[in-house]
Amino acid sequence: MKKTAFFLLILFCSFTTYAQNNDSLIGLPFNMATPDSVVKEIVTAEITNFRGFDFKIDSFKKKKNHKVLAVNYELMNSALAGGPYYYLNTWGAAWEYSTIEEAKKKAIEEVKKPSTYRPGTILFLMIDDSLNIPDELFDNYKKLEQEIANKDKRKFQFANKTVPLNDAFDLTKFAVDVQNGFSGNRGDSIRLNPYFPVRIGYPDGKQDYADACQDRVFYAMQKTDIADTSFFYNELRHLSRRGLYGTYNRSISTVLNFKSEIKGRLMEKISKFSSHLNVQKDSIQVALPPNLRHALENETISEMWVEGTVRVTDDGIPLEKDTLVKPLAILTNKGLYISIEIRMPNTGVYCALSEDFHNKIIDVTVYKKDEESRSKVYSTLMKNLEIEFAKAPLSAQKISKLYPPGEMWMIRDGLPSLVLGNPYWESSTYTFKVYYGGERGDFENVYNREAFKGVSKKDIYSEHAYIFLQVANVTSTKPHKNDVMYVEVDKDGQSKYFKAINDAIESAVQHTCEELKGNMNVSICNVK
Amino acid sequence: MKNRIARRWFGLFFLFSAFFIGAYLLIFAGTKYLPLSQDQSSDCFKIIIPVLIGQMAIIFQWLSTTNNQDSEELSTLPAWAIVLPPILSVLVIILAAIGLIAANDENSTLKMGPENFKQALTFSVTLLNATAIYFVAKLFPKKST
Repeated sequence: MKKTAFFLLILFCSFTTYAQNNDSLIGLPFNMATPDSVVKEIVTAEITNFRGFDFKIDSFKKKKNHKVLAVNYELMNSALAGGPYYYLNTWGAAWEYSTIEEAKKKAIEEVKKPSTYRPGTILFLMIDDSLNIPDELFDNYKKLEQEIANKDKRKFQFANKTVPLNDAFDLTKFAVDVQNGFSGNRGDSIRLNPYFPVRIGYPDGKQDYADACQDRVFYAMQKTDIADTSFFYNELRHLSRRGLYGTYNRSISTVLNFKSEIKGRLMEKISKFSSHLNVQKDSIQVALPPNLRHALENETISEMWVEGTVRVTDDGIPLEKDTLVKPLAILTNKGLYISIEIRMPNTGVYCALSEDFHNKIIDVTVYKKDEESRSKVYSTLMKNLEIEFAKAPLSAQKISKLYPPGEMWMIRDGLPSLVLGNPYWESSTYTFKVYYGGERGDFENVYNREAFKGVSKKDIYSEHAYIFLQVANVTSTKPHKNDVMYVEVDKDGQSKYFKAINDAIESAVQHTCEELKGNMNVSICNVK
Repeated sequence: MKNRIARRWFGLFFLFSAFFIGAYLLIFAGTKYLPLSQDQSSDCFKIIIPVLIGQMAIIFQWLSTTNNQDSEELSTLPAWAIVLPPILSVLVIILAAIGLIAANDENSTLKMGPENFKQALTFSVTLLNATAIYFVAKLFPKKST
């Protein structure tokens, strides 16, 4: 996100510079994009001080003169972003052309290629060797951050408050933690079961992206009256046995570069679930957002109840859990804190996208320009996944229905568990998602690559194109066919499923690689 | 039936039934021989074992202060009333366990499940409570101090 912010800032400063010299742009109404044909030449600058901004600018600088960076942006107005801002869609670069005009033409072609391109304004940054961008950029960035935080505080006066906030923690600070996408320290994540680490944040962060116009929802912790503590505690003890509740619909992210055209508004169904963590007894390390941690620094957490979200099928069968959970209640040595939810009316547009792809990847750099061959890789991978997951012990079957783009679902429901053996029965779902991380010029792809887990960063090259695979699994079992309900698999069972799933993925990727005549390099298949 | 035989019958019945039922619930839970979760097995254990152990305690307390004066006398209780209830209560448990195992087969149409098994155990305990336990109190009276 910082990278995006830095780049937006540069755009902002560049635009400001331009606007100061061009009165015709000052009156441009927000959300009114100029026609695609209008191309604006903004600033000539050498970018030498990009601290932490991995823009591959060094390699760009080494190229010959007449370097041009073309950026496709939209002018937006968002209260959450502190007012008007420039939303970066795509960017493209060109060099080694004999004239600036040719470089511009090539850059504009490049900027229109990625699927995230939206007809709007294209802005040029021409880069030569004569101008530095000063450190003031970064000072301005800090100022902007502070201004946004201040505006957020002021906006809370419009929030719906379900309870008086007198005793709540510093609501505004905590909400800002959540709003700014606090993701916790990945090393300190808590675990709902041995194979499912989660972090404290706001579950279903995608909803903010998915429905850009919806109200924002936050939460804060309020200490209960001593007289109510016993009542709440008894209620909470039964909470984690409730199963799924609070089902709602969420739009599917359409920023991902889906292969086929998306028609209509795709929806997916989300349910909530809660879990109890015996923090003190089980010696669980809990990483809290900064302000909540600060508020509880003199207290010892003994128990915690958290709420997460899980994507479900139309029939309510769980598919994929979100890795962020919010605290519902925290019991410390000084009292019981209950989460209160605050709904803030949306006054602008806010978009955030966070997709973690893991498990396996296939290097398809050779097919970077060949969509048909990439499509063959997709179908081969999906075919092999279906074959391997249909084999024992997983023995799942493909669900025959229309999936969201880039996905496939398999299920084994109400049948004996071959992983755990007699007498167990299972209800398991497997969600396969693939994502194409294309050219370097596609900013969104580059960003998402860095969220990729499971493969060392040194093995990922920015100029390569990859297909990322993510396999999500939700399994519950029961010891008897006629038992009333399925329950979470115990630790040993989780371990058996984890191994069986990993073996199936390994085998599927291995076979895919062989069929495509590629080389398997640890966890990456390089297609030749 | 002589008192000696009736006492031996009850003593051995409660000892062996507590041992075998307890061991079965503890050892075989989560296997194909007892398709219950650990929690469900624990619930079953709590339903039946305290009753059996309670009777054992009465019997062994009596044995520790043995008073065999009437051992060769004929019991006033009918033999069928002494022998049948314990046998039937164990039979209920055995049938319920067989039903539970059979119902877990993929092709089985039996509707027996963990809840039914718990109900069978409760029924078995009720049967004992209504019959044999009165006899235990009569045959193994607490020694007056």
